[in-house]
Amino acid sequence: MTSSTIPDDAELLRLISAGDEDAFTALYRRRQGGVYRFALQMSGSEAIAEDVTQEVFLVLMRDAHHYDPTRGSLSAYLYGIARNHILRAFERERRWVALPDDGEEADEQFHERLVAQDDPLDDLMRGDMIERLHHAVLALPTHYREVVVLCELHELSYAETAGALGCAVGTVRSRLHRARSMLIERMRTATTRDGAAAEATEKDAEAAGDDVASHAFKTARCFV
Amino acid sequence: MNCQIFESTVNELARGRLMDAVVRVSALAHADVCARCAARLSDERKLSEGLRAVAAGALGVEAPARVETMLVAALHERAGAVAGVTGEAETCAQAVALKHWSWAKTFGTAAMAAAAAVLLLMLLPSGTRVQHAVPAGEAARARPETVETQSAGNASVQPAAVLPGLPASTDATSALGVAPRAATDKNDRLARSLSAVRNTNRTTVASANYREPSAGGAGAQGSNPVGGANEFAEITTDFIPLGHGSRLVEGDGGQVVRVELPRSALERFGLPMNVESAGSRIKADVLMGEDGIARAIRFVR
Repeated sequence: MTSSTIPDDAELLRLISAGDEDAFTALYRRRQGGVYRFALQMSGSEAIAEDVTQEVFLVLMRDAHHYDPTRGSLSAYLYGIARNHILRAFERERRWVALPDDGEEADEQFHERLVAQDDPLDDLMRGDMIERLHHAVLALPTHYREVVVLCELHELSYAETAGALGCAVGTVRSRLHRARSMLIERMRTATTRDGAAAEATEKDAEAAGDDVASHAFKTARCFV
Repeated sequence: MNCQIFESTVNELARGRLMDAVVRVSALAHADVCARCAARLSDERKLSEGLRAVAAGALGVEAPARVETMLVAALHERAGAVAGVTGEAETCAQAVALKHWSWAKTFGTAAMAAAAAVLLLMLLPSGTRVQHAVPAGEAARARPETVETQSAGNASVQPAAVLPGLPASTDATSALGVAPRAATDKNDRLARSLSAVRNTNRTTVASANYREPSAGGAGAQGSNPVGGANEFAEITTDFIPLGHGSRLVEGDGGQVVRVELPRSALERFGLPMNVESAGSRIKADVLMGEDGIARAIRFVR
């Protein structure tokens, strides 16, 4: 099959509106991954992600003709529907307690807190730190989390993200800026806490005269 | 470039996104001389790398196969429900109950319906003709007839289906697992015999069926859905779809609004009209979709 024979989203939607089942299946297989991953990254729950994905495509099945390509991409449209269902799921389940948003701080003071003498973010590429970053994203307040997920994890543009969220591009930019700062601080705090815990454990081992344990912890710290 | 301006650009720098070349060069030059900003940029870059790793780790994650299975089943059920509605002998409907309804919305929709009724009279396609006229006032059920209309494009007219809150035949199925309500004599009827026409220039619509109130006096089958008028005395036609691409799809919401039109409007829809009373007015119910667009019309006597 040549590229010219592969229908684009608009053509598939037109066929879906006319009742073409094959077109619906094709569009589902093309778009379901992004929708599912978005829902999973927003909720952290496979069950919610599955339900949301199902609801998004049921809406598309029913209301394919409601999509207006002049208002944005199909991806943004689907993400917008998914977002609404995710927010409803949150309301129902109230799973996540968001990090408190301390409000606006003086830029200068905030800047100071972000700059540390040590550089605990050096280990960011380690698997465990990536997992922590994943959880840090999940712990963000919803309106910050969704811009991080869409802009950073799904690489949507500011305009597409604004379309999906129904807000201005400037709002997306400012929320992303704030969200990234929160993530950096969160990761730095977690790393510092882990380092302090490891150090305390090492001191306890030394106090107990356990040279073997002390050596082990010293060695382990090299990989923290 | 100072630290404050640098802070406003550090995200773009770290994410490697497109930005003004002059600003980029200036920001990087500032980071070369400012240790704080350099550390800030380093943190942001590492965060970006970490987020890319998080995204990469999720790349192969997809919805379970059962989601597709369920959706395909829903699709089949929906197609079957649409076909079933088309083949039914009769369907029943009642006034649509919309969520969060308000009087302001009622008046607004009524105004839109009146405007839509006037507009449709001006925009009706030409070439409308009736093959078999049904005498006005005939008590017996009229024979089915075909009204041919010119359509400018792919006039896809879908079979009428149940709107939320509208009862339908118990034989109809719901693609979304919602059981349709049983029809009652007091409920109004939606136009049901609309054939789905794909990529054709002909639209086959329902006949003008005039029905008498039910013998039991429990209420006219074509009872007034709006305003609670004397439902025992009214006779209605079936709903006639309006415009190009009129669709009555299961799950769509809507509102039926009562309007008054010149009696000459009957002729425009291929219905018989007594020319001696052409100057009088006739009541009609306009079916408005959730988007405020008129979907169908029926006449009331």
